Amino acid sequence: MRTVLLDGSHAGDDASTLVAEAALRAIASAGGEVDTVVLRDMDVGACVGCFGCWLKTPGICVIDDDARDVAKSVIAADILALLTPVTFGGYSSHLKRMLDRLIPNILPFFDKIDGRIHHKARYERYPSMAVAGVLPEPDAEAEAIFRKLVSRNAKNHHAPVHAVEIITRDEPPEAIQQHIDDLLTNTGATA
Amino acid sequence: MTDQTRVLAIIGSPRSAGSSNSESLASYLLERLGERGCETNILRVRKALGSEDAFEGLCSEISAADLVVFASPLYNDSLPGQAVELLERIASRRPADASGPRMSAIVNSGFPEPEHVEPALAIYERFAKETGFGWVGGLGIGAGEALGGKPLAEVGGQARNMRAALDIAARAFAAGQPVPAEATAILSKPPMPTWLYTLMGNWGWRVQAKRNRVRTSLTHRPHRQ
Repeated sequence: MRTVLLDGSHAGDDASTLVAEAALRAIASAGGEVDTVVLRDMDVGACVGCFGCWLKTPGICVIDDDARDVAKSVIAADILALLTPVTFGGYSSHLKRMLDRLIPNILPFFDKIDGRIHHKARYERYPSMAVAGVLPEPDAEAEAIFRKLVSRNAKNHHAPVHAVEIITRDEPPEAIQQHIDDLLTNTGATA
Repeated sequence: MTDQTRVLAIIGSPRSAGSSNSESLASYLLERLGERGCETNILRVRKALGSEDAFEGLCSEISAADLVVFASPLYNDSLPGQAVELLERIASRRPADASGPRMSAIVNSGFPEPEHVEPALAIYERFAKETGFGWVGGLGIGAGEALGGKPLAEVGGQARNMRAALDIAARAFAAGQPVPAEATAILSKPPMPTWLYTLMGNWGWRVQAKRNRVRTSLTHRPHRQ
């Protein structure tokens, strides 16, 4: 079982660090491999919307930076784990930049999936998505936006399974570990 | 000081004018607002993030505006990464008790069904709430990619509903009112049948691929699984 963990947290975010550590522990104790990518330390340029990854160099982004390697390792993984502060109900900019750079992994062609138009799959299989969102305090509205975003996103990324856990900053380490264990169990990462 | 309504559009697309559909939509709205006596200005996220001066300039334009309209494409069910970064930076700079200006958003998707933009509009609305902007509603637009970045007035029937909805929104904005339900209703249907959009879109990708001489390699799988 191979997991790629994309850490979209900001520098100095202790709660997110605890969540990432809990994830590494859970994956290691299940005997899985994990490749952690701390996005704020990587060179990940913004997608420029050129469609070169579809129409010029199919499957590979025209921007030559760290995001190319990440896109490659995502497609070889069983689980794509995302860690982010819930930002206005969505992903942080660090994480969102990287997710925008994953579109080389799908095709330009349209197809109807579950009643709506999406882009077709390029590969035979895609990782399941395990998403941990960190909030400063319980917040039903932000959580609802985030859950909807992830479920829509999982469809566009052709994830066979997806799961979300919302973690609040003041939760004790045992509670955080429980969230992560649930998250990884629900996506089959620790099966 | 004048009592003219000042409207600022902030373009979240990384593309430049002439290829940005977000800019086509926002420019059309600003032109209609201009005709109604509003003072309008347009700034781009990519430029605003390029230097400290540009970001400061954007912040003072926001402070001076009565209405800010964020226009962006839908990337991965949300805003482009750079647009999120701009929102984060604006949020971190706004005082906790900041209030106003009014704010709207136009999000356009490459998919024909406008409901794809729901999470993105919810994110803009949530940003407005967290940072003290006065949310006046947003406009979600399907099949935005079909505009080809052209001025909206030059696109034919497929942009008819977009123009109609933006006309209605402009009238409301100029009068200090929120996005009318009528404008949202006009946009709630795909601008063309989804089967036709799929057919034309897929044909369009093949034509572009042929032009780039990658027609046969379009479905390549460069990474091993």
